[in-house]
Amino acid sequence: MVAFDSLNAFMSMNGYGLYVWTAWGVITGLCVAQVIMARLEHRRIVQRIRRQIRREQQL
Amino acid sequence: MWQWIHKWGSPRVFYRFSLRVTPWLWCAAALLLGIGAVWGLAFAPPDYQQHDSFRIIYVHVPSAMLAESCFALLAVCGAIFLVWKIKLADMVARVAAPFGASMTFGALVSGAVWGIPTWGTWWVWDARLTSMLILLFLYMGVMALRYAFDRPDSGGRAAAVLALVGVVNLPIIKYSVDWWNTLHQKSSFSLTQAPSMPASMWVPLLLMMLGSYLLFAALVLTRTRHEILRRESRSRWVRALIAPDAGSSDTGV
Repeated sequence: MVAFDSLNAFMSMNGYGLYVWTAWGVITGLCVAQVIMARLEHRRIVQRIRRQIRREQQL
Repeated sequence: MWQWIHKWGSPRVFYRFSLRVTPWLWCAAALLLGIGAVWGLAFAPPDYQQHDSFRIIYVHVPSAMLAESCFALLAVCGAIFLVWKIKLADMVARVAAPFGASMTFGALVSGAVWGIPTWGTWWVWDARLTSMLILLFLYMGVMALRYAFDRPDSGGRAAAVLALVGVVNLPIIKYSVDWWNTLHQKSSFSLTQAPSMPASMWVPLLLMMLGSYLLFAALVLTRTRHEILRRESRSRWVRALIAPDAGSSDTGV
């Protein structure tokens, strides 16, 4: 059973929207940021090792 | 036993294991968190006292649990690294710390935001809140110590010592709501007792908690893999993994 009468009531959380969405937003954002940073980290490390290999091959 | 430790302490073995399990962990985490979020936000019945503001519980409790569990992991890894000098433990500790710190921050922020409609204030120097703030400072100390030394190994050892010392804060956080009777409510969820909430309220919380643990595991395993690549970038197997054709070149390296 949906706990809200309308989409409007859901979005506003019956008056608690600001608090509920802020809390959810902050924590979701923190988690998403960690995952994105992990992906960037992988790319950075692989690129660095590739550069290293190329440099050594040129020697 | 020693063979077992040696095998799992080997970065290469760990890398292969991590590569195999993380896709499943990511999927399971996404599934549990997705179901838990929709259920918790839209389907769980509103609390009779706190109405819809109680829905913050579905992110507040998991983030606080992760914040504490992650610090316990730092301490266990620190002990393994200090006693047996297993580098893998240090790698796990290094990559886990930022996530634990951000979850501590998340628990504090979501708690503050929850406090406004519930307690009428966003912060009090309540024992639970204060001990969580100390946890955040401990995380920052652990992360800062790692980079305060010229040799990475010394930094890792210093961070491990602080994690082991700081672990005394965990039972203080846990029992703070029982020892000091202040604003923060007591735990409404325990392993040994039947929950006082209806199932339609606690099942999504359980899903969010399990899902966030899986997310934590997936993230730590993935980043440990990156850390292995970074530290072992000169080893032959990493080279072969990143540039499979480079090994057959006639340069002799």
